[in-house]
Amino acid sequence: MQTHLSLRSLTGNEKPDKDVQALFATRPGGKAILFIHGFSGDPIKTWSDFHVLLPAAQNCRDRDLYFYGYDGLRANMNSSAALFRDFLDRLFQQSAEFVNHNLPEDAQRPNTFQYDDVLLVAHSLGAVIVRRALLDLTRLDRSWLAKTRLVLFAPAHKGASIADLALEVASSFRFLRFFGAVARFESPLIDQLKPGSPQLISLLKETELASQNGANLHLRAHQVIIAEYERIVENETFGSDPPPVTIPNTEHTTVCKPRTDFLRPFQILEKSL
Amino acid sequence: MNVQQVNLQDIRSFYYERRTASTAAETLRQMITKRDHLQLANLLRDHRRKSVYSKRERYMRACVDDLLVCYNVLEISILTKFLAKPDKSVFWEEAGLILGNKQVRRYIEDFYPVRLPQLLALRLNGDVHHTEKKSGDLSSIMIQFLALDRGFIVSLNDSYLLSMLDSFTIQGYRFRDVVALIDNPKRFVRRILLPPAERSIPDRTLQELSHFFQFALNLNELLQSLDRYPLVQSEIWNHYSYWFEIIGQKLNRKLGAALDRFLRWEAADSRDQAALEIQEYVANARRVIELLTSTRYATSVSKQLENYKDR
Repeated sequence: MQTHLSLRSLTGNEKPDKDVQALFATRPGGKAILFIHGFSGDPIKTWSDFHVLLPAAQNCRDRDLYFYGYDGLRANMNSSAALFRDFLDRLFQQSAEFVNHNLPEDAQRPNTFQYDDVLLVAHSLGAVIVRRALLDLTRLDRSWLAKTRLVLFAPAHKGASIADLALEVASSFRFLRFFGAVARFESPLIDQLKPGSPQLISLLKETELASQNGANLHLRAHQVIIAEYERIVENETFGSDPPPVTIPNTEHTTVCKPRTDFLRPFQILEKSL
Repeated sequence: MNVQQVNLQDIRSFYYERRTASTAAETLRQMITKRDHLQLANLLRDHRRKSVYSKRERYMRACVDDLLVCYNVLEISILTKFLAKPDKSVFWEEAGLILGNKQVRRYIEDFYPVRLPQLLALRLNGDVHHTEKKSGDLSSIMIQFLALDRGFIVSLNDSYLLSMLDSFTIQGYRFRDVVALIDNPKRFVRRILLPPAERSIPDRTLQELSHFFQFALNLNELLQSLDRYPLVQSEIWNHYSYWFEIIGQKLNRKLGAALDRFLRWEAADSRDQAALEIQEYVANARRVIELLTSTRYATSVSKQLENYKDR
């Protein structure tokens, strides 16, 4: 049985919708998984083959799958977070209108459709973008935040060294990273993601303050997954996040890429559903 | 929800309405219903007999190519039961009218042979009813294929790279000029990291070269997962037969030349590791391009077509 409709870019020529791709469930259950890629990632390639494996999973059949896209190479971190915040706001506050705008006539959902459970799955820089957006939305007192949970792969919230990664992920020629010394890459993210940067310190302080006495549980990661051979991000625990799970024999860019012969990232995520 | 109906709406939206396929269909339908045979024959002529210079004609022929791409996808989708069999709706009636026309048939059978529209024509004429019997997990394959093809259309279909691989010159640049840029790792890396707005034609072509190798690897992986469904496998490969069959040898030779240049690279640090990774990448990419440009995936559709034509 076909569980999801074809992959589609969201309607519209404006950011971020034009860069978001979605697999809508054929029998929706008010649930979704929203993937947010990392530094210089691609909405789909970062997570491949989640888009193939998840539709076939028993407990994912009624979930819409969103693959959020943004400029993770050159855009300012806080600006990306603000765009993502607005996107989340629309997704929750105008769910039926939002979804129906992107579905063909015969797949329209009732006007009462809404999301009750959205898993936010972020990789690397994506974790910082999501955390910043959730903090700002907490300040705006959005009641739907309790319907979100956070799963993080190789999060960059404690800092990252990204100049070399730019070369590794800017093309499909991964071996370019060996030739990084000859190139100068410029991006505001290099400073913003440095361990101990003002942006990251503020992110941690604000999260701790907002989470005092067990408040705002949505700010605490449900699950953190890290790579065994990590050389891009700092693997320290952030605030009151749970201790991380390590996936053996993985690196920063492979820890979030399940395949039919490497199912560990998929299995971990599936347990969070 | 009638999922097959929604799938048809999705395919029509992306391949027919948003691209120029609908323009071609409307033009061809009008010419056919008005019995404008001479004009139709002129539009759909063999360019080797009479060249095509006029902008209008080139545009319309490009629209026809888009329509044939749409018919490819419809044929694959019916075979895999991603779509229901064609009914008497206006859309399918139009497809039947166009693919049943003598001039169109010459265009797709003799001048520029494309097998999937031929199969769809037979299907619409009631001569072919075949669908894949074991279609349980094929909706997932179709979703993968459509995602891959969407990426191809968005990133590569109108790319400088494919035009250059097809021996076109873009504002004075040929493919060999792009290959020459690979000689120098420093220059190559600098160009790859340029923001989109600052990329020149060669810079953009280098990006497209990276996309194309990734696309070829992904396509081959998808095709290999379809060994149990040789006809579906062959139909998906045929969808790209212009690149991998018609100009396949040229593509193989040119991409091979590009890949060879990477083998000359030497890293200042981690020399052995860098050399090993480059060798592995090049060997794998070469193997995949050779496989895709071979007859490995062509046979099933060719046989199927011959069988039906012999009846």
